[in-house]
Amino acid sequence: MNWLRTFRVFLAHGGRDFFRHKTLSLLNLTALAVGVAAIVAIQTVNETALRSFRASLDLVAGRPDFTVEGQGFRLPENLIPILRQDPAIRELTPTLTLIASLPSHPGEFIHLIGVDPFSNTELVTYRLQDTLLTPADATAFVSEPNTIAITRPLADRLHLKIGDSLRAVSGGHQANLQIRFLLEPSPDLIGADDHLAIADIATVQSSFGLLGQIDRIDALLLPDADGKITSAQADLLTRLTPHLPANARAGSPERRGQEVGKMLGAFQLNLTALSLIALVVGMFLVTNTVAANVARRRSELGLLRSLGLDRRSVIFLLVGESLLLSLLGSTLGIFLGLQVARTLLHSVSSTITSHYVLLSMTDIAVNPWSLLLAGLAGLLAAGLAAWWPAREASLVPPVDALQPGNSADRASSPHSLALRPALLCFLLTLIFSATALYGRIPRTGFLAALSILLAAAFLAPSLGRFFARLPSLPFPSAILARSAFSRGLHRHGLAAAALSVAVAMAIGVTIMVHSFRATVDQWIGESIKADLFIAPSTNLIAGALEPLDPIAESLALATPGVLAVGTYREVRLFLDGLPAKLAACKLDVLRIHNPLTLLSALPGDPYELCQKGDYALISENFARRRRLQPGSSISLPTPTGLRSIQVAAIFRDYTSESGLLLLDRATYQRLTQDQGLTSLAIHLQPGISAQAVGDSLREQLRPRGEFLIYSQAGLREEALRIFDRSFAVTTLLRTLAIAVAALGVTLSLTALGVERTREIGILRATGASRTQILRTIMFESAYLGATGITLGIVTGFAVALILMQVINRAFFGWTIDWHTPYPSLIYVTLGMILACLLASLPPAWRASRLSPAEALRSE
Amino acid sequence: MLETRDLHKSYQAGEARVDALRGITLKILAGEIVAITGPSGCGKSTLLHLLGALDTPTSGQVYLEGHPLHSLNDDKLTALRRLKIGFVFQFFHLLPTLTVEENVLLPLLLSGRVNPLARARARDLLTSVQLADRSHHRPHQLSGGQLQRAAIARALIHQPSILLADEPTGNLDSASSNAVIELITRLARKEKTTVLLVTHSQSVAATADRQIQLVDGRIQS
Ligand SMILES: Nc1ncnc2c1ncn2[C@@H]1O[C@H](COP(=O)(O)OP(=O)(O)OP(=O)(O)O)[C@@H](O)[C@H]1O
Ligand SMILES: [Mg+2]
Repeated sequence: MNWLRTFRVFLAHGGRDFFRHKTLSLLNLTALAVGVAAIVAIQTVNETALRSFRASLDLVAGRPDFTVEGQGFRLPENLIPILRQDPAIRELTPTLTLIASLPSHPGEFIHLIGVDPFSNTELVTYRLQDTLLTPADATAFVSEPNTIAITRPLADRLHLKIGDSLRAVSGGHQANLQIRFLLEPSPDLIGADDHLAIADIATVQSSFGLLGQIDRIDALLLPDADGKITSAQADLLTRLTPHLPANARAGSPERRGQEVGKMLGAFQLNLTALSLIALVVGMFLVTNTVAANVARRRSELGLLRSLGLDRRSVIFLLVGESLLLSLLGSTLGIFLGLQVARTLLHSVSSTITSHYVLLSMTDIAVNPWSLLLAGLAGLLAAGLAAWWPAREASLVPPVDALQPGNSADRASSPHSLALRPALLCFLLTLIFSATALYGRIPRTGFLAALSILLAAAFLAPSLGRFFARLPSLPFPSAILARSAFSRGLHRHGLAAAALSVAVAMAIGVTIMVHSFRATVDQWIGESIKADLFIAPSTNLIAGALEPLDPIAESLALATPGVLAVGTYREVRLFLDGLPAKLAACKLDVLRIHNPLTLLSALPGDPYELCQKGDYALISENFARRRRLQPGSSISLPTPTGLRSIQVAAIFRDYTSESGLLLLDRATYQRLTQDQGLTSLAIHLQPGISAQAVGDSLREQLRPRGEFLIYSQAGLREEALRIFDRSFAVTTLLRTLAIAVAALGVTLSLTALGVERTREIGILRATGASRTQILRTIMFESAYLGATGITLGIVTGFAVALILMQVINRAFFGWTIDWHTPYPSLIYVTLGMILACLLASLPPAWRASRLSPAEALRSE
Repeated sequence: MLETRDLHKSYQAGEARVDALRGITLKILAGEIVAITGPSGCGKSTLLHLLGALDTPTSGQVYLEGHPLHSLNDDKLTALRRLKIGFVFQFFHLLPTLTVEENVLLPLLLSGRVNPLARARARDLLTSVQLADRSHHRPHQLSGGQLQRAAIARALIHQPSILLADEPTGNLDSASSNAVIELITRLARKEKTTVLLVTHSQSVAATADRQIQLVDGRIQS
């Protein structure tokens, strides 16, 4: 227990040291905290998205043992008696969900769920009884016609009260609903959105033309003899399968969770990648921090060593101290991270809504495990980071450590050996890229990106040395800075590495996003030829795919000046376990007025094939991800059974992440019995004003509800707005990375400033002015910045290449044309330079303000 | 040449106040070599810092060749240090990144006066401190005595009117110590530089023109 006593002494000393160098200590803590915060923030956002999605499903049907769900299309009601007869089923309840807009409240909608209040009591988590309903009310709920329950927040916002009627529109059907109940969503219910509205399932069916249709059946099973339900689930599935339509998917609800994961997979991947990078930058920062601390305490260690402390204890003491510091930092980081997650929530939630599913995230979901994990990552980083310098410090003979002045000079200097790991990392980049692209292990694409970043990090000290060897500017401060930088590489090497990683990632992401945007923009320009577009307003607000009022098509066709009307229908479904979009168009209009960019096709006219038989056009990413070619066949589950569709051609498309399977409208309707439309594309005769036709349509449609009518330019703007919003998180994290790297610069310079206090004293005594000291440190920061930024820019191009050609190809299968965003690159670079200069100001100021006499006295 | 009047310096260390100097009045003539002695903690380094324009007094006046050091701002003090003052410290404070020659040239480098003439002077000085063959070495490759000799060359490179040395031999064995003192006095007399030398050693003090003894922040006469 001897070392424990020593540790206490050491800690007491460390504590005092901590308060003596307040700025440095605060910076250390901040660095640790920011590193951990970045991880926590991203983890939490991820977690929240997943959880609220699952919760929004559970909201209606609690946690059933078994679920039958229609994918893409609804299910026939007559499944209910079939299921009810089954001996394994104890309880079941159907639901029917839709999004309806509220014409009297522009921009508002309800997420209407039709439930059966008699059968759902045991299943639903969002029990009506918990709100204002009493069992007696349940009868009123079904007996009074058109009864609806809306949430109190929505009622308050729209100034509605019990007894008011509410007009709702969906798919061309209008209903006057009576508000008879208010729902009081409990605050801890994740996924509860104030748009939620509940009505009797029969009301929803009759009001919106959905007679005989349901979305889902949730059931509770009778346990078997062993009290388990697993075998009951399997048996039930076998019995049911012959009775189910092809588009029905039945099974345990766990599977649904997995599918959610898959659906949000790409999005999460994006975030995971960013959090990995945040982790790398954070680790560098932590390493830097801890290494600085250890270096500063060398002489103290020399003393302890000379007093009889053994080597192992030295390591133990230093690592222990770093762990304590990082414990504090990680704790702060967790709180900071949660705060950041909260601010990101909105943008993430709207991104998911516009790309994947309607999702409402009101507050973050905190997973204690991921917090613990992030905290552990911080601790681990600090422990590992302390290990190396601690070991080194333990090897220094006590006399050396005690020798003042030049002890730090003999501290570790980076070796050119770092070239070898850099080369290794570069090789790994190539290998991982190959496995991602050809080995069908997409995830290794991220390892490729990580390896190239690490390669850059390893090169940082060597490049720094190279810069330090170049002749310096002929100013005294530049000359001094150059030699100080070359000697400070043991510290600066790490800061430059962190900087280069941050810059590389910022530049890589900037190039990727810009290229992607430019590609999409160009594609929109080439492929969107119609003059006007009409869609139900809810599709924009709630990201839904509610059908358009069919009257819109006939109105558009009857409007003078209209040359042709293209139709578009889209449903989301799972094909072979992967999410996909099934779409239908009037191909005769499309081929004449808005031909697709075909990349490859079967011989003959692909459009004609599709119009005549069970052929489809598929998007490039759909083809790449499923490895399909013209001629391949796809089995498509439809309400009329499983259909085999052949690929007629592959076309370029950027509208869907999961890929698009496009059928001719007639084929689609024949196979699916779905007459609905999602939007219309109107082509005008030459010389006709889109504005005028748009206004006239708007006028005619007004009584039918709320519609979105876009001009060509408007649609393009809208598409790019959605694109930009999707990358908002990316951009924010990019800024965060730059900020973190700048913090690293400050930290590095401050730590060196503290180490070199005495030298600054000598310089001042020898006649250096305050300005000269200030300039010297700023020049030093310029050397540091030049190293990190140069390396970062070069690596950034490589990262962009990997993002576009490896990760994107392996995961999404899009073609992104390279566009170098010169202005943004210049901004990012200037921003980084500015950040470095700003970062150098506090330490430079501090050093220049030191009193020379005090500085000379410092130990 | 150098004059102080009723010089006081106090440090505030938390609650406690330390009066390091309590009324120092002295006058040093041009070309004089003066030894300052006294027990540890009596304020020798503090006095030297005030005389060397490194610090400002709590009260009292310091005049260096008529310049009132106590009332000048940092820029003016810096300029004076650059032109008129040379320092030698106890722990051979050389900059570890620069070579010996660059260290010697440092004061001129800072004032942007490095030219062939200055380089020649640096070589001369290095020869006279017997380090000509070491001019391109780094400080950590030199011995203690050699370092101190290099520091003396640096202190004299810009022909200061006064050389302040704070226990320049405190860290050396007696042979090197004698050599260093001998060097300082020889060069100072040759260049007609005034020297203020803080020392614990009686034998070193004896070589000076005059001795000032400090006790507890005051001059003991
Ligand atoms: N920054 C400071 N804060 C508080 N007290 C100080 C400070 N610097 C010096 N002192 C005190 O001032 C007094 C004089 O210190 P100084 O360094 O001048 O002594 P010295 O004569 O040079 O001693 P030595 O021979 O040991 O070098 C001492 O009591 C010292 O503790
Ligand atoms: Mg002293």
